[in-house]
Amino acid sequence: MWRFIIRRIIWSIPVILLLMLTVFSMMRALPGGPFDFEGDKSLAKAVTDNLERRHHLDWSEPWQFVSYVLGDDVAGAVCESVSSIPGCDKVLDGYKAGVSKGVIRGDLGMAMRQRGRTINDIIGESFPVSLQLGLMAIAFGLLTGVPLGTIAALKQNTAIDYAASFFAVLGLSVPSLVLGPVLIWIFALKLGWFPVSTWGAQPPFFLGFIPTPTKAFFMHAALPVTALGLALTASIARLTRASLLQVIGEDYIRTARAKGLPQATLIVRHALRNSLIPVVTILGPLTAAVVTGSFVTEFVFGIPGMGKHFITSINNRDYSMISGVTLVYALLLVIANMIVDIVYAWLDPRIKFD
Amino acid sequence: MKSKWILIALVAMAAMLFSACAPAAQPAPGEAAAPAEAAGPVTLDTVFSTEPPSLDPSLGSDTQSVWAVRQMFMGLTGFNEDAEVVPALATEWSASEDGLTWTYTMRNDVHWVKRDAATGEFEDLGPVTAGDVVFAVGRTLDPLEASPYASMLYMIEGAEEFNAADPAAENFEELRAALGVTALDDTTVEFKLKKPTGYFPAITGLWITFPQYAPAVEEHAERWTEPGNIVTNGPYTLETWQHGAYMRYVKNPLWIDADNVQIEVIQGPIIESESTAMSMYEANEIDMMADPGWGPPLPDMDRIKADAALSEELFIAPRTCTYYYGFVNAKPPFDNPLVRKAFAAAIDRQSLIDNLLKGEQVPAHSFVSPGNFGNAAGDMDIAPWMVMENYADQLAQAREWIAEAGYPDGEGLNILLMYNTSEAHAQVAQAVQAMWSEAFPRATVSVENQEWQVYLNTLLPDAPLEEKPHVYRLGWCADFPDAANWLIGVYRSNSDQNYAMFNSPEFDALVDEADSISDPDRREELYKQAEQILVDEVTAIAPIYYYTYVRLYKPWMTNIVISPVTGDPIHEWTIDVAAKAAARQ
Repeated sequence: MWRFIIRRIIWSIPVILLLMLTVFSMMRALPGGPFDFEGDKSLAKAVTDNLERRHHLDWSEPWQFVSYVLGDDVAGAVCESVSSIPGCDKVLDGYKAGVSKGVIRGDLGMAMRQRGRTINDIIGESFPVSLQLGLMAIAFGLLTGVPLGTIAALKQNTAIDYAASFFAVLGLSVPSLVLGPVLIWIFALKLGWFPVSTWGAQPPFFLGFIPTPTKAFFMHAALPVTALGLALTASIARLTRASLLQVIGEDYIRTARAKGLPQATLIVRHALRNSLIPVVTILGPLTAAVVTGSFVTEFVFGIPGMGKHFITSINNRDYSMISGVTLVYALLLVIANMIVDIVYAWLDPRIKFD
Repeated sequence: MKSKWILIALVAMAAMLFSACAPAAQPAPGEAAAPAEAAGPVTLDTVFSTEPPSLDPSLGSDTQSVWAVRQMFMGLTGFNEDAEVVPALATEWSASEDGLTWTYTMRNDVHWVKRDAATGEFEDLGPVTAGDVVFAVGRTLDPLEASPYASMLYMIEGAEEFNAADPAAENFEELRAALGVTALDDTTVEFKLKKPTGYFPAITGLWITFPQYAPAVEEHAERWTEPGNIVTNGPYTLETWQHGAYMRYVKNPLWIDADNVQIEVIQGPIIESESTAMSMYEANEIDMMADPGWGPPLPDMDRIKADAALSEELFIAPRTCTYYYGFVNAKPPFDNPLVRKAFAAAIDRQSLIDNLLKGEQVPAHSFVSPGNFGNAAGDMDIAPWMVMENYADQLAQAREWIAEAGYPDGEGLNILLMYNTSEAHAQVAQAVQAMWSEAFPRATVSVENQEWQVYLNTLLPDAPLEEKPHVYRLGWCADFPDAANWLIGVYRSNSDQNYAMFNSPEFDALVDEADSISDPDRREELYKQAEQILVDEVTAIAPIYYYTYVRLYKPWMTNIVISPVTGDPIHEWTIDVAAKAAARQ
C-alpha cells in the first residue's frame, strides 16, 4: 500500500504544476489586471505602475511564474549569473524586494486586493471554517443519506420508497441560494430558534480546525449545515438506493439468504457494504469540493469561509489569491482520491493496489 | 471478516466531529460573537458589508476602508453635514496671495493613543504634530507604498514627480526631499502647490492626508493597522479584527471630545449578503441597515414602504453620486449632438425612479450631484429638457431632434447600449431600451453586458472605437465634494476617465480657470458654464439620477448625523439603551 501511496504522490506533482501553470496563464489572459481600476475609477498610470511593481507584474510572465513557484531569490540568482536571458533586466531591478519565497517553500504570495495580507494568512483563517462546515455537512449527508437510500431500496416501489425518492429529488433541485434564505426565514425569523447568520467559532482551533463545541457553535452551525447537507443527503440517498437494488439481486445475496442469515446482518454486512462503492467514489471529489467552501451557503449565512475567494478573486483579478485557493483545492482532490482508492480495496477485497 | 462495520465508521466520524473535540476544550479567546447585552457598554451593532481592504489612511480607497479611517483618525480639515469644509485638527488655514502656498495652524491638544491588546488600556503617546501630517503625506506619495489615491495629491509641488519616480533611480531621495509639504513648527504645516487650487482645503479633508504616527508604521510595517499595533487620534480605535469575519471598534477615552461621545462600541460581523443583513435587522440583531453595512435590499423596498413599523424606520438622504449614461461622442451616429440630445431626452427619469429604483432618487439634469461645491443641480437653465414636468413633451422634443438629425423615427439607427453585469443595471438598461424603442420606433436598440474589468477596458479612451458601445452606463461618486473632482477629474479632454471621448477646448478653459482661482463665487459660475456645455449644449452624457442614501435605523437610534462624504460621525450619534435592550429580550 505504501508503494501505491508514494507512487500516487509522485504522479500528482506534474499534475499540480500543470494546473498552476494553467491557472496562472488563464488569469493573465483575461482582459484587465488587478490594478487597472479602483472601484469605478481608473488609476493614474504612475499609480498602477507602482502597484504592479510591488507584485512583480512588471516582469515578463515566465519570470513571474518562476518567482511564484520557486521564489524571487531563485529568479534573481539565475539572472545574476546569466543576465542575457530575456526579461532579466526587470528581474534584476526588483528581486531584492523579496515578494515571493515561492510555492515550493509554502509561500502562496501576497494578496493583491487586501493590503499587507498574505494568501497564507487568508487561507489559514478561512479554510478551517470551511472545513468545519464541510465536514459537518458531509457527516449530515451520510448519516441521513445512506439510511434513507437503504430504506428506499428495501421497500422498493412502496409509498416509503416514493417518499424518499421525492425527498431526494427535492433536495437536489432546490438550490441552496433558495434553501438558505427559506431556512433563515422559518427557523431564525419566524420561530427564533437559531441565529440568522455568522459562524459560532473563532480561532485558535484545536489541531488547527476543531472548534470548541459550545452551544453557540452548534446553534450557529445548525442552519448552514442543514442547507449544505441536504443536497448531499439527496445525492447519497439516490446512489445508495440504486446501487443497493443492484446488489440485492446478486447471487451471493441469495446464497446468504439461503444459509439463513438474519435480514439485518444480510443487508448491513453483505449488501450495503458492497453497494457503497459508488457512494465512496463520489464522496472523494465531493469532500474536496465541500470542505474548500460553498460560495452560496457561506454567502447566505455570512460565514467567513474560503468559498467566496474562488469567485471574487477572479472578478478582482487577484492572481495570487485564485492560484492559492485552486492549489489548496487540487491538493485536497489528490488526497481525497487517494483515500477513495484505499477505501475501495477495503470495501471490496477483489480490488488490489497494483 | 476482519474489517469493521461500515456504519460504525460513519458514526465514529460524526462522533469525532461532534464530541471528540470536547476534551480539547480550552478557554476560547475572543468569545465576542455573542452580542453584548444591555449591562455592557453602549454598543452600536451593525454588519460590515465586506472586509476592509486596508485600514491604513495612506492606502484605503473604498467605502469600507474610508469609513473605518474616519472613525479612527482626524485630519486637518473635515466636512459637515452640508459637505462644507470645517476645521478639525487645523483651527485655521490661509492661502498666500498667489494661491500657491497654504498654511495650516493646528491645535495641540489632540493626542495619539494606542490600545494595549492584552490589558485593554489606552496609552497616551503625546500630541499630534505637524510632522505627523508631513509624514503621512510623504507616505501616500511614496511609490514604494503604491497608494491607489496618490494622484489626488498631484497638485502639491514635487508630488507627481516623486510618485512616478522609479525607486531604483539615483535621485529618488532628492525627489522625496523636494516634496512641497513642510512642518514649520509643531503646529504649523505648509503646503506648496504647483498651481493655485481653490479647493485645497477639501483635499486636506481627504483620508490620504490624515496624520500617521511614524514609530508605529516603522515598527510594524504593513501590520501596523492590526489591533494592538495601530495608533490613532480619532474618536474610536480598533479593538478586534478577525479577518473576514468580525470587527469591533471601541471609544477612545482620551479623545478631545470623549465626554460627549455616547456610543462606546461599534461591532459586527462581516456579512456579504444584503438580504442576510436585512434578516438580522428584522431579528433585532443589528441596529441599522446603513454604512458600513448594507442599505435595505431593493426587492424588500415595496414591503418596507408598506409595513407600518419598517416605513417609520426608513431614512433617505442625498448622497454625492450621479448615475448616468455616457455617449461615445466619437462614434457615429453619436458624433452628432442632435442624436445625443434626442437619446438623452427620451429617458423618463421619474418613471425609472418610481418603478425600479424606489429610493426617492432625484431625476438628474446635470453631472455634478447636489452636495458638491459648484453643483448646478438646482439651476433649471441647464438641460431642463431632460426633466420636464410632462414626459410627453420631452418625448416630442426628442422626436423632433432625431428627425432634425436625419433619422426620422430612428430610421437607420442601430444602437448598442452596454452596462456592467449587475441585476440592477440590467433592469435600468432594459427599461431605457423600451423607452428608446417607444420614442424611435424604427431604431434598433440592443443591450449587452460585460463583466466589470472587461467593461472598463472596453471603455478606456484609447481602446478601439469599433469595440465600444454607443452608450455606456456609469456612476460617479465624489472623492471630495467639489465640482473639480467631477468636471476636471472625469471630463477634461485629457482625463483617462473620459470614456465619452468628449473634447471641448471651451470646457477645458472654463474648468482650468476654476481650478486655478480661489474666489468661490467665480468658481461656482465657471463650473455652471462648464456644466452647461457638457450636459446641455454638447450633451456628451445623459445624467439619469442623483443617488440617495436609503437606510433603515431602529427607533432606538435617537440621534443620527449623516455625512455626505463617506464615514458618518458615529461619535455624534446616540442610542436609547433601555429601548434597545427591551426590544432584544
